[in-house]
Amino acid sequence: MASKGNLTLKSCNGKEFIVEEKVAVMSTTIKNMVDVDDSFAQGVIPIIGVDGKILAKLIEYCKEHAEADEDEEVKSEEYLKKFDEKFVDELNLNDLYDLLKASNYLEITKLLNLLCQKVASMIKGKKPEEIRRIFNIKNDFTPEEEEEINRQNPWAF
Amino acid sequence: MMKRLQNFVVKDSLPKDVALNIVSCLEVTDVCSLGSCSNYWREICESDCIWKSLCEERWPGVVFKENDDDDNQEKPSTFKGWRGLYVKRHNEMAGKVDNLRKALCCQAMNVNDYLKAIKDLNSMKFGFRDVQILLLQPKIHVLLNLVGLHFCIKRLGVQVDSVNEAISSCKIQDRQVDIHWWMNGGWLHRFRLPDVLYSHCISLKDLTKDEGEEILGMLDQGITRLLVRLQISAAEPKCC
Repeated sequence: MASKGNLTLKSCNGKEFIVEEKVAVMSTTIKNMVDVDDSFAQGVIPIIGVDGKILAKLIEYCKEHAEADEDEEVKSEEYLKKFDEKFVDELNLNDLYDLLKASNYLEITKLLNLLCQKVASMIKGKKPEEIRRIFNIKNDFTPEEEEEINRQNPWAF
Repeated sequence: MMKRLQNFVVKDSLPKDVALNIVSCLEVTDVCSLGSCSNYWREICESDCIWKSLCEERWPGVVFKENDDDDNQEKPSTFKGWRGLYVKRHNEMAGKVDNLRKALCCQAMNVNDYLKAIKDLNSMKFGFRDVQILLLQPKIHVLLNLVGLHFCIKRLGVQVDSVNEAISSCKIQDRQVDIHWWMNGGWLHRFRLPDVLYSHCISLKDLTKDEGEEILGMLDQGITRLLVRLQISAAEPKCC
């Protein structure tokens, strides 16, 4: 395994990013690849299914967190909290979906949980019609199913 | 490892474990709302693991019997598994709250009835989450809000800050109650003096503060030798 070097990550649309290994291994998937096979550490790691824009976002997140893990003085917990808030607030819905899938696939657990929390906060207190509108969810129930749901749910509200 | 990479297919909908992760961050009413959006989300929101953790979060330490439903053949449960257990227990508690509501359906109540309601919550083993979901709600009468608040602070020992947060989040913090109490007038030359009436109007929010501590303490004690009568009512909107 190449010691503390840089790794090259390549997005599905051919964009290459050179990142420090400590940043890249925030992703458990990449960490496992590097641990298992030295050749990844020297060559280019293809990140299939993740485009350049999303990969850049992932790297931005991992960089901040890797640096904070290394030196708490420079990047305090409070700084990270603010960074996380800003990071999720600036995402549009498409990016949010893509990042959720990418962070799941690359196993960046902290980011995945942060994004899930964000989606949950967008759902909180909303009625089904509002949730459908926010997330472009198509109502694919038959009238019978719809009726059944209306019959089942009153206990909760 | 490479094989795993190549097998990754970008799908339009979220992977199931991501969807479950999102739903696990939601509260029960939000789970039900999201589950009413589409077939995909319905299936996710009905998952047993979601309802298992909702049960455990709301009723920590309670042992649920999986075969509870079988005991009651006359009224088969609409829901299966952990969801069935959750809804069943929730409905039982909601039924008890409904009984309380019927018993105190008037605008004013005496302290004895008030303390009995609190005792009932205690014997029904209500927890803070139960009180939040069933009593600290805008659709519930302010006197029952007060019963819930009193029970949490005085019986469950919940931190006043947490109670304050709970009543703020459901926007009942500004509701007010009127409290009237009569102190024994005592005797003078073998004549009984009239009892002295005091009254105080206070918001639920202020009851979680220093000012409220005294009031809650008085309510908690109920009738004493000096305090001959105590009545609690919903405050008129123009009061204070």
